[in-house]
Amino acid sequence: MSKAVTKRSDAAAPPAQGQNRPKPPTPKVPPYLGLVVLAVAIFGFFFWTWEGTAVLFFPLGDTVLWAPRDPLIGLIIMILALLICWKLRVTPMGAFGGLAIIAITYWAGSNIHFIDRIAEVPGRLTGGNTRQQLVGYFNPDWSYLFLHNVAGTSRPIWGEWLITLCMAVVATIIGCFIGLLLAMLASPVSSFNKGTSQTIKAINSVVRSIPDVAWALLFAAFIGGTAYGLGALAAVLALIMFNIGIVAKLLSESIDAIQPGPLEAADAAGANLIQRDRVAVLPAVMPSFISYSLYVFELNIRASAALGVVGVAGIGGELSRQIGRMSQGYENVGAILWALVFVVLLVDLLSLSIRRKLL
Amino acid sequence: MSHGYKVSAAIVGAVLLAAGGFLLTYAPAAESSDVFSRMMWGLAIGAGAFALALTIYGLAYVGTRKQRTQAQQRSDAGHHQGGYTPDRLDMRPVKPVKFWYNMALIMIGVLFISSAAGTGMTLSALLEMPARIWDFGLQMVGGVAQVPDEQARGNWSSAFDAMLESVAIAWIGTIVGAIFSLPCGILAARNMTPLATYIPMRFILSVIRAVPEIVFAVAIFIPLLGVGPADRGGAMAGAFALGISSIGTLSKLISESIEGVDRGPLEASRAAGASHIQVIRWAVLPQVLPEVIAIWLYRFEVNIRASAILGALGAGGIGRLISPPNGLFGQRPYDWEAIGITLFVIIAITMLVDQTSGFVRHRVIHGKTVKQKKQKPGDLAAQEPDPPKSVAV
Repeated sequence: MSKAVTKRSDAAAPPAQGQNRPKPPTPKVPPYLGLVVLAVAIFGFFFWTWEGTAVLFFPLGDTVLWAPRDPLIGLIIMILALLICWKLRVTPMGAFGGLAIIAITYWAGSNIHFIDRIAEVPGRLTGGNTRQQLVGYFNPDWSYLFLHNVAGTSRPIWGEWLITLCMAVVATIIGCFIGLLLAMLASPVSSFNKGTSQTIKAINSVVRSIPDVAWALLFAAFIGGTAYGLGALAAVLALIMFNIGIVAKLLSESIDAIQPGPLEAADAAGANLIQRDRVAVLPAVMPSFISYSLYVFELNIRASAALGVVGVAGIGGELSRQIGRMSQGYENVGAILWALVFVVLLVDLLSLSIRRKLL
Repeated sequence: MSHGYKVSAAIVGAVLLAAGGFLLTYAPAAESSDVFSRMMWGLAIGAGAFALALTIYGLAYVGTRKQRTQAQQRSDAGHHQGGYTPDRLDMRPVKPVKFWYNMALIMIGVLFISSAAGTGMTLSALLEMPARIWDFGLQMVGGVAQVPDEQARGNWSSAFDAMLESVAIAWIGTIVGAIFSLPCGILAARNMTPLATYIPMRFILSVIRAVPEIVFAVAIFIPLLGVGPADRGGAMAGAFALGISSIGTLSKLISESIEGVDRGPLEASRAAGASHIQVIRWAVLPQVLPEVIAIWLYRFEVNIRASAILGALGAGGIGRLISPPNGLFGQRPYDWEAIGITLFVIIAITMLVDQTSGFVRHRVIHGKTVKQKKQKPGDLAAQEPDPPKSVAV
């Protein structure tokens, strides 16, 4: 998206006198006409899928694309944007970028009913229990957090926090270790051969594209239940997969970028692959490995609180239970959420201090 | 003593053995026993492993006593008999002491065992898992690979619906974050603002970063905008939660890249009499905009994954489709064919979006890849030089 490109080529022209500053040249017409055609085509697509018309995905079934309800407005906006770009003498590529952003935003906004929901907000604030809910969240019930037990058991609420922290620690240690091994295999610098690294990269991108909730649900099903004790195992396994994805991706990129000097020295001294990885690659990426591990630990705290929502152990399970019986009062949920912010802040500070000390 | 690696292998092995054995055999009744007491159990086991490791280390030390005395004698001999005394420069460099490194590893091991015990998970459940994974995996693959009948068509289309909704949520979240993050990033860059705005801005941004998305979603946006599928407002709530929480990270990254700009253009535009806003417009933005767009696109990828967890909480998108009590994983028995189809759609669309945004990012940062054509001698004059890489404004 490079706009205002040719400013520099004008500098070659003799400097203009006084007020006559050289203007950037008008962009070529045909690309802009093409963009107008594209805008009309987008309008046509929106018009075709208007009112939730099902669009055929060839053999697989119909999908509702929720095209914007007023495609004409979209067309007008797009044409106006193109006109403005023309006036500002933006290059066709930049104008194409702008057009794409407008079209996608228009589609996405209407997909989630942007305007309707915004229009509804004042009504919600005055009527309904929204106000009560917000007041409840900002007046948390601290005694619930420290003194009460999980309903129906003798487990205290703060014990659930401890379980959440434990899950995060276990998952971070195992996940980062496996992630280190996979990153070694995934980077062509330290891997056996090109094929291995490509395979591991493909597997890794599949692992990374499944969200952590889906992993948690999958493992809960694989283990055979979401009972309490098994729930922690499911959460830990899900977090491990989540961590492997992140660490392997980030670390293999930093392995790609290490200095070639130590590698060549190790090769020249006759090291085999494992010795070379041990003495040349590992020390070079160790600082970034440690900082990624700390980052992943922070992510794990957040994620393990959230994962409880799908029925695994830890504070998240209690959070989802409290959300389920929210009609009895919002102070308990408020307390958990405030405590979550507090714990995340503490972990941030801790990892910051460790990072300062180590690196 | 060149037994270092053997010793550390022994330590690691002992720790892992102790942990595995403990977790396989000790099956706490998690409902009755306390987390704290379980962690204490774990600590006790960890202490045992530590003692074991220390014993092995000590035995290794004692076992190599003879060699050590011989080495000592050899180095002493030089002094006494007036023979060849190794110079400091002739000797191999002294191996650095790895005591604290080893201690840190052991501490991590103890922490690991203790928290593994604290979670109360029973690893014996893992023994049945491979068979189930095989069974369910076959069903999932069968679901994806079958010729779609009426039900499968329904699964495909609902999966596509939910995933496209997730993409829409993530996009709107990214747009919201992008709109707010550029001014915030400029206000949080030390070389652009006075200290009086810099410090409060930094503080606000770090507060936003510390609050997880689920807190924004549950506490603010679900009450304000509604819960459930898109037409009841859940998707909007998710989008806004993602947007607000991306402001923190985006602004931090943007302010860092603004702090790293080249000072030359800034001074030049100031010397030409530009006001503060003109300096930002003509000297700062052209330098940072490719990086900023790359940061925004990266956040879009992150948001797609994050929207799943918000869906599980009642904001729309793919999370709503899969999570209990109403989703695919809430039904018993599990409909593995539908789950397989849904996972396939998730993977396909996420990877597609990643590839696209990766391509755009590469294009924005590195510019167009120019293919070197074979030049005929004649058309050298006709060829225009490639325009210099510059920046969208």
